[in-house]
Amino acid sequence: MLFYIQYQGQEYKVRVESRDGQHWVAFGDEAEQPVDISYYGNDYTLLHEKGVFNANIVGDKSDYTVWRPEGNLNFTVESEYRRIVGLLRGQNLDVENNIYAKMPGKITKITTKLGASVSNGDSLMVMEAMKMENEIKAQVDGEIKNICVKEGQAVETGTLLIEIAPATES
Amino acid sequence: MKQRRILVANRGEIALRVIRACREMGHVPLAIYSKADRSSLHVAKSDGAICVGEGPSIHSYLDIDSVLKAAKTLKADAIHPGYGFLSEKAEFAKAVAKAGLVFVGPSAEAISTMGDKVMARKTMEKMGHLPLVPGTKDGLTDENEAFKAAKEIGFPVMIKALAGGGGRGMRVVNSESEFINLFRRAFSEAQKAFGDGRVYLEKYVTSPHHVEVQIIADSHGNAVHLFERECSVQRRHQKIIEESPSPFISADTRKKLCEAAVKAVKDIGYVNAGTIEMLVDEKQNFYFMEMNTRLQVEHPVTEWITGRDLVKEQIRVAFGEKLSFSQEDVKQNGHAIEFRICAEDPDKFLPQAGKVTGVSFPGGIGVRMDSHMYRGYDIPVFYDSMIAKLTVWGKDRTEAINRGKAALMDTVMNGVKTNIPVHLQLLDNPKFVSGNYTTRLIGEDFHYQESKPTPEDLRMALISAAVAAYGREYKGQDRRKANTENSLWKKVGREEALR
Repeated sequence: MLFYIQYQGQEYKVRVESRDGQHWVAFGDEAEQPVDISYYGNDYTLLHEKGVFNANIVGDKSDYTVWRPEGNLNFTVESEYRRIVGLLRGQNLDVENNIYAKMPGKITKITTKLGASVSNGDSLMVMEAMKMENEIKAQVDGEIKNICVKEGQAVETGTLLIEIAPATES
Repeated sequence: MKQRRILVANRGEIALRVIRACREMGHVPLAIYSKADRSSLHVAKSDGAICVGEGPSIHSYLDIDSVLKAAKTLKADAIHPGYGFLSEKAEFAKAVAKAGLVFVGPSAEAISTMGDKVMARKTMEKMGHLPLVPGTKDGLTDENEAFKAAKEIGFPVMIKALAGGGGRGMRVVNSESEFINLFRRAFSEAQKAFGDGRVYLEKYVTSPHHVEVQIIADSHGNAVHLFERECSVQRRHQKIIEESPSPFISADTRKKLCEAAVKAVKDIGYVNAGTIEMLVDEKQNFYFMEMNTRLQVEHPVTEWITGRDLVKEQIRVAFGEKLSFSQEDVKQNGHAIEFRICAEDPDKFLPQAGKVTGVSFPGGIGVRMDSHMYRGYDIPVFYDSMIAKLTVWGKDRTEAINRGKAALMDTVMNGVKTNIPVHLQLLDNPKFVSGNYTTRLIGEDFHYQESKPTPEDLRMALISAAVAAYGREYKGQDRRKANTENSLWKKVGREEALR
């Protein structure tokens, strides 16, 4: 399973799998390697070539705190699956006016109209992907400039769905 | 020695400390607790405990009637007040005596003389053993009167609460224009904290060292000192590191200070443990600041270097016995440093409350941990943020510093932010390491910086966090069955739908 971890404005990718009774980790684009990690409750001990790493790790939803004597590290951890579900629901997107399909799917319903004024978070359309229906939401306040897809249309990743003219700041 | 029933009228680490002394001596330790402290360790470790009221200390630990009622119900022979709470309230000492119980501390008269800062200054001035910092002789409530006095003393001046301690009701005023505003704040803070808004003024000695002398006396005319403690590492006028011996004062100053302190307590006929706090300037001039008529938080530092158990000695002398040692027996051996571990944001020094999710104490030679923490403990919002005292001993200061670092790194106290990172950085601060630091260390020569992990540590932390997250995704599922896209999709989808 792939995890996206945010730390101080940087994103790190860590893939974790479990087989043959141990964990395998691929850090970033590096090759997968077995890791020697033991844990009890929240306490983790990791043996690696440069030494031993101890930490107490407490996760609350996607917020993870790694407690260390020198100071804590705060991570936002998101699995690939959760990220995709989130994206489909219009969450966690970088703020952008226009909306693109983040995965392949089918537009099942369009709930907005050309020229409609929308607010951040308003539902714009419903997209079905991987057997789940997901609302696509506006990320900004503004006006619908163009609806680029039709109901029932199949879309690929990256298809422009809707163009929004953001409300000018007054 | 006859077995006594001793009620510890306190909570937290100091209650545990006193309970331990009672156990060693064969006495029966008894406890009181507030509703917020039912699951506190001092309750479990006692031989009997009674609830004295609601969480806020004014309705429990500070309620003299409730405490005395508990003492009666528990058939206590004596009350040890610890530090803080009722320990320096003369009316409490008086009420304890009136109830026919032994107060493990000085007499009510001694507390009202020396615990009241203005009275203490007058007494000290009269006796003439210790010089005073110029200041007002009476408690002030009127801001205009105070302003006039401040101008006479000359700026900068320090405003201090008459009933105070722990830095509350304390303000440094650098110029005339700030005075009224800061006076009002000190006054209202003192009123809230101690129920007594009166303040007094003192000339503010810039760059002072805070050095204090531990004394203990019995009712047979014996008074001894147990050397000094350097307490200049302070934030918001509260000590966070104390050490003994002071790395700053000369042998000559040490001798003068300690001898003057003993003379002073003998003159006032003081009995039990006490501390005389002094300011020492860069030329080793010293001034009497105040006397604490109780056990101090930092007493373990003195216990390390002298090998004397102050709490046991307090109990002995409270029951009229002689001190178990004389001045000649007290030797300074090695070096000790105490770190006050507080539940607070290391950056802004703001107190934190919450659940402690992981606890592990350091150990080994020369390491002492006084703490009431355990895994799952909920830190209540009503009391002090200090959750542990780590005290280390070394044959010299360098060994003590290195031992301190190792022990702090070995201390796990998770779930709430603590100031352990601050202590670790202080031990690397050149000014602290030099030993010649003043109360201005924090803020002037030391600035806490959030520690950056090494790339290797960050990598390991990220991997550990990913493994932790992986474990959580599969929690409660059979790993072999769960490891398919379908079931995971359903699980995540359902969970997300519930958000």
